Amino acid sequence: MDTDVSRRTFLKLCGATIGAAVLGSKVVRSTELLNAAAGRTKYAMGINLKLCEETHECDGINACVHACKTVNITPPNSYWMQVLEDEHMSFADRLPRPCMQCENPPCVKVCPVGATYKRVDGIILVDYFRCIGCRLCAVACPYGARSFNWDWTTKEEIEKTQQESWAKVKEVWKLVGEESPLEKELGPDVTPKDAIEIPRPAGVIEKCNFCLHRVEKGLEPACVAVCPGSAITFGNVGDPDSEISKILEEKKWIKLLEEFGTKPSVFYYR
Amino acid sequence: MVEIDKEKTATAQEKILKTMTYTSGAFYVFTAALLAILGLFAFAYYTQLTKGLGVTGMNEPVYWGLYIATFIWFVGLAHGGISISAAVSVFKLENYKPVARMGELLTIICLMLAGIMITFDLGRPDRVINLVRFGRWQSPLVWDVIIIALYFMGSFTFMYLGLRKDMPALIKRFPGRSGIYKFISAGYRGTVKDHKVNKRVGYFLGIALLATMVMASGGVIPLIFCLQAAQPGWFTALLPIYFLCAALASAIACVIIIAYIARRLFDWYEFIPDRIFIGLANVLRVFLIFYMYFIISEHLVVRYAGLHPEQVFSNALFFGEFAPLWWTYLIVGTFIPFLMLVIPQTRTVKGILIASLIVVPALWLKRMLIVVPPLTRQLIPNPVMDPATRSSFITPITSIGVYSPSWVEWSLFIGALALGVLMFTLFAKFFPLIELEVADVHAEPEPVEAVPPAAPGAAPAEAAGPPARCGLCDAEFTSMDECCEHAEKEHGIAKDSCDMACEEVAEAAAPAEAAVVAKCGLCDAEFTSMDECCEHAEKEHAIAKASCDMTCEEVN
Repeated sequence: MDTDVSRRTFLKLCGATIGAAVLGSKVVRSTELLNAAAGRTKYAMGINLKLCEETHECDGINACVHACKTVNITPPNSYWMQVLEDEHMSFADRLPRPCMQCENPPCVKVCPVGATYKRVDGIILVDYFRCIGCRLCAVACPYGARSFNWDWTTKEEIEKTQQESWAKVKEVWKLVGEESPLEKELGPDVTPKDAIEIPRPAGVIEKCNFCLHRVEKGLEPACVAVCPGSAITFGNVGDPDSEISKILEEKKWIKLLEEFGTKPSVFYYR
Repeated sequence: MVEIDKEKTATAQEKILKTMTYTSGAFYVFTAALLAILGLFAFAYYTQLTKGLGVTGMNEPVYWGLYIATFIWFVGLAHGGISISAAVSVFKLENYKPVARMGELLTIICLMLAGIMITFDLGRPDRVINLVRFGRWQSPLVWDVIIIALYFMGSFTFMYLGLRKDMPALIKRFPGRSGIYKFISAGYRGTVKDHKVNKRVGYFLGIALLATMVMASGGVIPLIFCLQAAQPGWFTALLPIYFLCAALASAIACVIIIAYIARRLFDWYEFIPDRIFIGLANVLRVFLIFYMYFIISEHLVVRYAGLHPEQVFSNALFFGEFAPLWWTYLIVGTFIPFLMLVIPQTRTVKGILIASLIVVPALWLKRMLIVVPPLTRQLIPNPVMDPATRSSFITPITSIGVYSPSWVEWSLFIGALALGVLMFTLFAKFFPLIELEVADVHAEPEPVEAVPPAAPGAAPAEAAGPPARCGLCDAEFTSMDECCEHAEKEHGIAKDSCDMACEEVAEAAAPAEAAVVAKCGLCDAEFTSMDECCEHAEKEHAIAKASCDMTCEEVN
């Protein structure tokens, strides 16, 4: 070789570059975390299965599911909040299933591009603009809590779906005979502008985020606000005086598929 | 070392280069058909890009389907080729050299197709660069990207090293294209030093590739699956070795098919003799029996322990909606080919070809049966998407997922296959499918056979062919055939098994020859044996027989 750089120097340079890159990325990540760790809150959700089953106004419609669709403007075929009904399920006839917002989330672990991440308050979010749509997280989630945006949908289609869901919510509350808290808040005619306005690209994963945009405004998530039987409670378990903390102390509760080590933040009790 | 017969080498080389020099009408028809399939392929992908992944049969909870299964299949096929080729270089398996280039080509093409397949599966192929920009080393998918990239680069370089050696001959043969070939040769002129360096690099790269091969299919690709506790059907430590075994089986079967087609089309019977097929088949049946063992092991553990989620998955295969496919795969796809490769009557080249033709698609089916059934059985009874309306909000009577590939998926699959065949065909038009070195090796044994009739002028009366001897009565014959006839007549031994009695006498010819062996140092007279010379020395030069080595010397 005619160059001045010997093989040893070259290898040293390579090593130093790689080391610097690794250390650099670590530093960047920890500052990101520090910025996010401003408030010490940890959100959780408690679901009273008994009240859920006794809310017969919801039979066959499930207000929480449609309130979720209205507020989050999800595409026609994707449902973030779901109510599971199965004859083989022995402990509940109806099982509302939001995202469990696990403390040890398998979805975050497997994401190849870091598009899904956990906030310090425990909420798992998806960066719609980084996700490549490989669906590895959907496969890794034992709860089936992730939905994929399969089709390119037009604005009109999404608006139509929202109107349909909103009509179903109103139908349930007509049976109850009151004006729903969500209606008081949003007014009788909901348009996408009244709710969250996040552009929704196709080909990416979406999921329940405990209605983060509402929680940040001090509101409850849509499913909590709309439930006619008040079966769902939402709050900060970091605060001992919160309603959810008291419920967790008084009641006996279970978490779904806890044996998978996911440490969910959603509690079920009767 | 025997010198290479230049004339014969040139003939053999010309035969190898037939793929490049001769183009029949069938070639154009074939290429046109492939291009037509690629047109459908382009249309299907256009549909998928504009409408979204909803046009495929994938749904919730069957998030993955044909694309991922085909991806594993292609990665598997990519293995055998380079492993045969690297083994030729590392373990000096010169016998398999004629199929090495085809194996390398299979690897390169299949790795490209695997990459294409995984891109089809992405919801946002436009963001594939994010894997590099934001890649997290904790994700098994990133491990895949790294190992496949590494593997592709290694295989490509390995193939290039072999290709480079052919360039000097190609430059001479095709002066019109010499510019391209000179560029590819990158200064390789075929000198002894060039050759040595090339061979050395190939050797070490071969070792690295064999290790990477075990890692790629055996260590990394299956980790996307077996690290997911949420899918009990995948969550087993058996999966890596399971995948490696299937990969090698499918790849070897594919090399057998390609080698057979090439031999038929280009009349390469002398380069790809039957023993190559038999040897590959012997390896193939080892992998098949290992694979069957792993299947038994997997389901025995699951069914004996009887853990609910795993059992549900196993039941889906054994008795559920996948049972017809599962049992067909197990019996027709694995057990019958295995038997065909074991029984001597069916272990002929035709039988091996048929077994390989079964094994390759059967292992594709097996990959589908690995990917889809676990996804259809969810741990908690989730709502299932109705495939017709694509609405997931139907009150779930049952939570069993449904999947059947749509026309888009089939078109993209067939299109990818057509693309692979097209790449193979076009490669054969520009580069030799067999390393040109094979032509040299091939010419070597012939001069050896040609030497005996040419050299011994002293024994012209002797018949061609080695003399033979009957082991039972010590009778001698001029050829094996004569001896066999004698054995049949005299000793009642069938001609087929005449080697029981007759044996070739290789050395017997040497003493019969009247070659010069000894020479008298005093008068330069030549003799056929030392004894004769000694007698001559005693008579003519009065030297005692005991000390005749004073004048007589042996001539070699």
